[in-house]
Amino acid sequence: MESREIVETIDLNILGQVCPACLLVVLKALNDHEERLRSGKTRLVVRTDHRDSTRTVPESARKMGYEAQVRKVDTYYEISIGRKDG
Amino acid sequence: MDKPDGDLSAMAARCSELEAENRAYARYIRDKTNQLLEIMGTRTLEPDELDDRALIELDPIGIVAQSFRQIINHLNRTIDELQQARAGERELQEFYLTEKMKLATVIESLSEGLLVLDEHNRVLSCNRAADEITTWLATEMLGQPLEALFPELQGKLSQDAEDMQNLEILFRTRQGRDRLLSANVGQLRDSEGRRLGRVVTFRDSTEEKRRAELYHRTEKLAAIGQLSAGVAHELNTPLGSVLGYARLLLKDKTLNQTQRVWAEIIAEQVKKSSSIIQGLLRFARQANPVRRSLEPCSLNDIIRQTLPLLATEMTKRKIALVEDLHSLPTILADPRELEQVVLNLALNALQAIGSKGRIRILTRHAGSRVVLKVEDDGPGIPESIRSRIFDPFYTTKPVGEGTGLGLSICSGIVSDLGGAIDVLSTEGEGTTFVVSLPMGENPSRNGH
Repeated sequence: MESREIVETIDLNILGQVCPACLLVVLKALNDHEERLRSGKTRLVVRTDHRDSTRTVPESARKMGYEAQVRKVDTYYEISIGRKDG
Repeated sequence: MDKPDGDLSAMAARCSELEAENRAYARYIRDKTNQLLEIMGTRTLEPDELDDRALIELDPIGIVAQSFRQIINHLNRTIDELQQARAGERELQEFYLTEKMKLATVIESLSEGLLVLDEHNRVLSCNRAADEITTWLATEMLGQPLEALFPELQGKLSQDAEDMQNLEILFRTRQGRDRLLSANVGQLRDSEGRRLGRVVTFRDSTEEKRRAELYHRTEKLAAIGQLSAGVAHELNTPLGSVLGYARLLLKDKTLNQTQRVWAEIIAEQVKKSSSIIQGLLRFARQANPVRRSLEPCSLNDIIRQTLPLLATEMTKRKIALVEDLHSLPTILADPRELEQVVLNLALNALQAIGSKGRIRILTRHAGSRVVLKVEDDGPGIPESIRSRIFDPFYTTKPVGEGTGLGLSICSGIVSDLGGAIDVLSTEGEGTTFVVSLPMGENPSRNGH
C-alpha cells in the first residue's frame, strides 16, 4: 500500500460561522498543524456552510502551497486541504 | 466626602478614558486585521461577527503573520524550483545544440550528397558533397524544386511515395558532362509519423559502373581465351595437313592451270586461317599469365625496335610517323607482350587512316606511371561503338580481314600489368589510345 493512502484527518467544524472569521479560524488551524500537513500524512477537513469560504479558504491554502479540494455534502461544503503532490 | 467623591469621579473619568483608549486600540487592531484580510483576498470583518474581546483572543494579526510566513516559504520554494527548472532547461538546450552541431558536422563530412526536401519536394538544405557532385552552389539549390535539379528523380518520386533505394539517374553537370548517380530516397517524418518531406542521398557511380564494365570485360576475355586456346589447338593440326597437301598438289606437274589456281587459293586461305589462329593463341596466352616472363623493360627501346616493321607499309600508304619519346624509367613487363601492344596500336592506327595521314607516338613519365600515347588523324571512332572496341572478335573490318583481337589483346596485356588503356576520339579528327603502366620496382632511367 502506498503511504498516501494512510491519511489521518483533522476535522474542523465551522458550520454557522461567516466568512472572514472562518478564514481566520482555518488559517490558524493551518498554522498550528503546518508540520503534519506538510508531511503529507494528515489532511485538514473543514466543514462550512458559508459559500464565500469555498472561495477564500482554498485560495489562501493554495497561496501557502497546499492542495485544496471543495466538495458539496448535503447542506454544507467540505474543504479538504493537504500537501501538494510533486 | 469631597475627597473620595473627587477620587471616585477622577477614577471614573480615568476609567472611561482607558475604555475609550481600549476601544481605540481594539479598533486599530480591527482595522489592521481588515487590512490584512483584504490582502488575503477576503471581505472585512463584520462588527457583529466578532466582538472586540473575541477578536483579540483569536489573535488575527498573529494568524495572518504566520500564514504569510507559510506563503513566503512556499514562494521561495517555488522560486528555487523555477531556477532549477531553468538551469535544467539550459542544460537540455545546450545538449540539443551540441547534438545538432555534431549531426551537422556528420552531414557535412559525408561523401554522399544529401538533400533535405520539404513536403512539396523543395530543397530545404544540402551538404557540401551535394555541391561537389551536382556542381550547383548550395545557395542556388536552396528553395529549388527537385525537378529543377534531378528531373528524372522527380518522375520516379511521384510514382512511388515510399522509400526507394539505389535509383540510377543520369545527371548532366554544368560542364555538360553526363554522370550516373545512384540515389536513395527516404521519408522524413516527425515524432508522430506525419510527413515532413524527404531525404535524398546520392553518390556519383559513374566510375564504379565503368569499373564493373571493365571487370565484366576481363571476365569475358578470360573465358573466351580458354575457349579459343582449345579450338585453336584442335584446328592447327588439320590446317597443317590441308596446307601440306595443297603444297603437294602444287608440285604436281600434271595439274592444269585452273586446278593450280584452285590449289593456290586453298594454300592462301589456309595461311589466312593460320594467322587467325595465331591471333587466337596469342589472345589465349595473354589470358593465361603463367607463360609470361616479366623483366625490366625500356618501353622506348621496344618502340624503336618494333616500328621499323611497319616502315614499308607506312611509306607505301604515305603515312608519316612522328616519334616523341621522353626519358622513362623501366617497367616490369614481358618484352614480347609490350612489343605486341605497340605493334597492335600502331597497326590499328595505320588501318584507321587508310592512306595519307600521320601517326604520332609519344611516351611520358607521369608520377609513378609510364604513359604511351598513339595518335592518328583518321576518321575517329563513333561514340556508339567506342565501348565495344576492346571486346574480343569485335571488328569493323569486312569479314575475313580482321580478327577483332588486336585491341582486345592489348587491353588484356595492359590490365594484367596493372595498367589501364583508354581511348579518346573525336569523329572526323582522329583517335588517341592512352596506355598507362605502373613503373617497375627498381626505377632506372634510360635515355631516348
